[in-house]
Amino acid sequence: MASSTVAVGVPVQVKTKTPTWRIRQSVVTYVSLIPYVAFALFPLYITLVTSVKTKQEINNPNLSPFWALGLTTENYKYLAQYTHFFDHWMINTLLVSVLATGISVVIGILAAYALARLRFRGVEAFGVAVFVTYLVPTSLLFLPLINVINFLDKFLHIRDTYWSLVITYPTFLIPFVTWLLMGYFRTVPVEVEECAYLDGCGRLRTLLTIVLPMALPGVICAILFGFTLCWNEFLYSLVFIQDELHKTLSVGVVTELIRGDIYFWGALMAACIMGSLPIIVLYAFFMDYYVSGLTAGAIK
Amino acid sequence: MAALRNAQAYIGSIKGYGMAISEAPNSILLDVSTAEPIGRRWRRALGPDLDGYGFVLPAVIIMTALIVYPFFLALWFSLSDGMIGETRHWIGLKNFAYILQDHIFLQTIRNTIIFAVSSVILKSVFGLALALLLQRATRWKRFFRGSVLIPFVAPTALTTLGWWLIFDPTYSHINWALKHIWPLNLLGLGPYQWLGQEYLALAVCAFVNFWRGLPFFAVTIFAGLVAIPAQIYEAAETDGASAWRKFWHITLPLLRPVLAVVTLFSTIFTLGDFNIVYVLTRGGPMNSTHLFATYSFTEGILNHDIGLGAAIALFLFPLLFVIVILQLRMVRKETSYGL
Amino acid sequence: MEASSSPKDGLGETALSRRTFLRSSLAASAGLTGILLTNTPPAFAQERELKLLTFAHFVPASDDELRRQLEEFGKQAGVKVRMDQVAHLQLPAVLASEVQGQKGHDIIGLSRFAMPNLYAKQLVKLDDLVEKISREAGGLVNKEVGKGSDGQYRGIPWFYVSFPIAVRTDLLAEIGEELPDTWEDVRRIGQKLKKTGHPLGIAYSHCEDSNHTLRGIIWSFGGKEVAKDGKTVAINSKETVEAYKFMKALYEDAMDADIMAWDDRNNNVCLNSGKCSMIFNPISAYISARNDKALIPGTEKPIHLVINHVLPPKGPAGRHMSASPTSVGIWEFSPMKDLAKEFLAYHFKKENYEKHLMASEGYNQSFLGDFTFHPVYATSLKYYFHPYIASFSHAPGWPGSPTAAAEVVWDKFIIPDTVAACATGKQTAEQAVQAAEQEMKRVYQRLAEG
Repeated sequence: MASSTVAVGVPVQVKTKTPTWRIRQSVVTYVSLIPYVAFALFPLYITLVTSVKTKQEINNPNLSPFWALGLTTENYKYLAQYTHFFDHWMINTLLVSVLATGISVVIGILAAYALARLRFRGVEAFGVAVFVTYLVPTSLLFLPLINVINFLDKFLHIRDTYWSLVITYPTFLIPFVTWLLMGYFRTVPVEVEECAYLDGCGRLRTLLTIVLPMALPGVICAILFGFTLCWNEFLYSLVFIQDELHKTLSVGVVTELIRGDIYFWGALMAACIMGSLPIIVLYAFFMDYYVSGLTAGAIK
Repeated sequence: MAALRNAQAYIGSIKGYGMAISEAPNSILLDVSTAEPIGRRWRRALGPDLDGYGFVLPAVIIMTALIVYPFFLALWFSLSDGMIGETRHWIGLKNFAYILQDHIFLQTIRNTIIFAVSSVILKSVFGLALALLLQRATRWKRFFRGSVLIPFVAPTALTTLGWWLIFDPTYSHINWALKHIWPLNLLGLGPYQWLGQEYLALAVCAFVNFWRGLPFFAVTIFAGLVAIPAQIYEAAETDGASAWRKFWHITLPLLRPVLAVVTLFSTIFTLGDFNIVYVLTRGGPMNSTHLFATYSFTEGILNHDIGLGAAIALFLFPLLFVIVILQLRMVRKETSYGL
Repeated sequence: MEASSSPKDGLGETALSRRTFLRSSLAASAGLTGILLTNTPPAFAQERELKLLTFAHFVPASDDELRRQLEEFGKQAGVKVRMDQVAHLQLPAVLASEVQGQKGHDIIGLSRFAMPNLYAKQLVKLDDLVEKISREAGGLVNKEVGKGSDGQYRGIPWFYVSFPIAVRTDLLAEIGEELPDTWEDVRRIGQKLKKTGHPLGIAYSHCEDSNHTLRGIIWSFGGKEVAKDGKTVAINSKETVEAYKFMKALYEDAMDADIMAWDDRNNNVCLNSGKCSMIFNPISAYISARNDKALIPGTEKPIHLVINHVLPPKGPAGRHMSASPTSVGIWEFSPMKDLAKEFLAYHFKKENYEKHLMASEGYNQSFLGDFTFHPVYATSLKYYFHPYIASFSHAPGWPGSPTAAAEVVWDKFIIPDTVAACATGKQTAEQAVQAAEQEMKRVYQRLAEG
């Protein structure tokens, strides 16, 4: 790379930015990105290919796993006909993710703002507590959590419905959202807030009208990540919901398509594709907003 | 170099609680000399913000009911004995003493440390590289960013099944490729028992964890990268800084808080990982892939000895607690004292 | 003639698709708001509902039959009923959470052999019901399964699944061998066939099949995990060391290294893909090969035609193999205990029990004497072994009863791990058995104290 000769104080001429240099740079960039993309997409590709293979092809170890000889939609048809994938599990998972993420983001925004800006006794302790809650693994936490759910179930019928998840998912969403938004709120210039405060805006109003719009990419980021965590969750959904119509995607798929020592690979792979599609679409759609928000925020 | 010094001064001011960006270059240097940005001092005069309590109240309520209480219950489990559903009696640290003599548990400690350290290192190095690349790619942005995110986005329970197929003893795609695809088959590499050989199995689990966690690092670091104002780089460039120097003296220091917190979160998530090992190996072969979460599940849920299960799961807690406190203190120190 | 009418893929039968269609059209028309509304009935006005929880059976038709019986019973008794299923491997977690919360279903399938023991305090005593059922149906084949730690029945023995050898008869014919009868036969045949690329397939890994098969081998050589009292660890004996040495020889001579990573499905896959010559498995491998129309590689011949089942082989100490028993019980905290008991009495009535048994197409094997020689096992020549294997099958924990300690040893995979260590040369047979003994003693001691 041509940037070697640096004399202190003497501005180096911009001979480094010639058109050929630029082209070479971008080629290097894009070529270097290819392995990453291939690495990320490889399992998904295998999943897709397997989901359109016939059972016999899947079972034959001599055929190429990377290509499907006979294309078939029987696995997707099986998913639609014999399981509640589309008519119940998908809807349940969507509802749970939307509601739980919504609640967590709202609460997280408030908490993050407090931690980032406000000063009062216990803010440090609270900040630490937010992190510490992550140290307890869900594979242990779910058992004591049953007691809490059963207690609440005395007043509201939540057991065996997705409301039990809407209540418990925020336990691992709120800390994450809070941390994420704390950082973004700190990047909002204090002066702007002070102006609003001096103008007579209350704390809440300042937050909603001034800070939040400026930290929007952070909020979108929090929503996206939170949604993903909800969508992927397995253990809580397994123990809180057994009614087949109320199950979420991951649990339902594992129950129906893995029976003892038989795995229905074709249908499992089809479920993986279909189960990832909504999220991928969501991300694809919001990516632009998220990133443009970030870049706009940087050039302040 | 004057510009670099200016840049570093600018970095110092950004790290303050309030980011005071001012047009006049002089004021940047001025802000650096004071310990705190102006806004903060002004607000301190007004006293503590009591409505802050109201802001955190909803979070506190949920966390107390759904995390703090269950946590203490879990702690009680680990310090008492009795099967699930029975009345429990205090036995102090006997459960912990028991597991420390269990050779499977000692193996679990080793496995988890190797697993977490290798995976997090891979994720941070490649995450940083990927974030830098993503920043430089100006064309086909949506495609690159979208496709790179997919491992993190797709349901873990299902993608791990996909990986299981790829490493399956009979159908392994990799073994097939090594046997049938030119030029790989010229190397004569035998079929590998990806999940059947002790340390290979652990490596595979760490690899899948790396695959899944890389987007998290990449996207978060990317956000941190994008937040660095372009003026700093331009200022450094006019001084003739090379790409390496720009990276080392500007990018890395500015990314340090982001890197620190992302690494912290990822380490905690990775140490508590359950799904990958559970689906791929269930702890085998010969217990070489058992992690805290999977072994705790085996002892606590399958064997109904919830005391042992809780002891295993909480074993790392004191250590992690100390690490979290230290990390947070470090991040706070950086932000308060600027340069 | 096969027992079932139209096996498409042995998975969803017409009944399920009909119900699914009805359900899905109802749900679709109800719409989102409908779902939301029906999800929150007032807490006080809840109907009586009898709830059953079990694992998703390998043969969905048997689950459908169970559901049908439950619904019919509900109609007769005037209560709402519900049957829920979870995956086999996840049932312990769900049951644990129900015990923890003292709330959940009423009737539960106890999929693991020691559950009646482990949850003895949480399950209703069913001695009288078991006594009645066994009297009316020719006695129980195994008298230990279903008993709690105090010797009283906590679960009604429902059915068990046995482990014959599933063998490729065409490969045997190629090398001029007869069906294997002893373990030495298995080793010899496996050695010959490994050379032609068709090894034997027994898992030495963290899976159920491994636990079952290896115990069978140990028992066949005269070794045992525990003494008859079920409390004294008796694994360290000359016979067990012999068994370990044999398992090491079996691995070296007749098997590939991939068995160290096997899950429960891998041996099915190995057989049905044409690679393995022999595996130890219930008939699920054969049934899925038949349903998937798997072919012998390189030909158009269906592979299930050349898969047959043989009784587990004899060792120096006789013919012994492990089997996987399932019981059904009632939670003590259930508000519908009496009704649940009535349902179980209804379900175990001979005509209903028979329907359930037949719905499983021969996969389930009955604990009831009168059903051991049921015609369903004659529906296919491949099922001939079913009536006879009962006398050679034991529940894990044999010769003691299936206790909680036996299940802990099972879950920690102490036997597969030590066998694997011995087979790969990490430890000698004596060392491996000693290590197993040490581990088991720790487990039994802890459970004796607690």
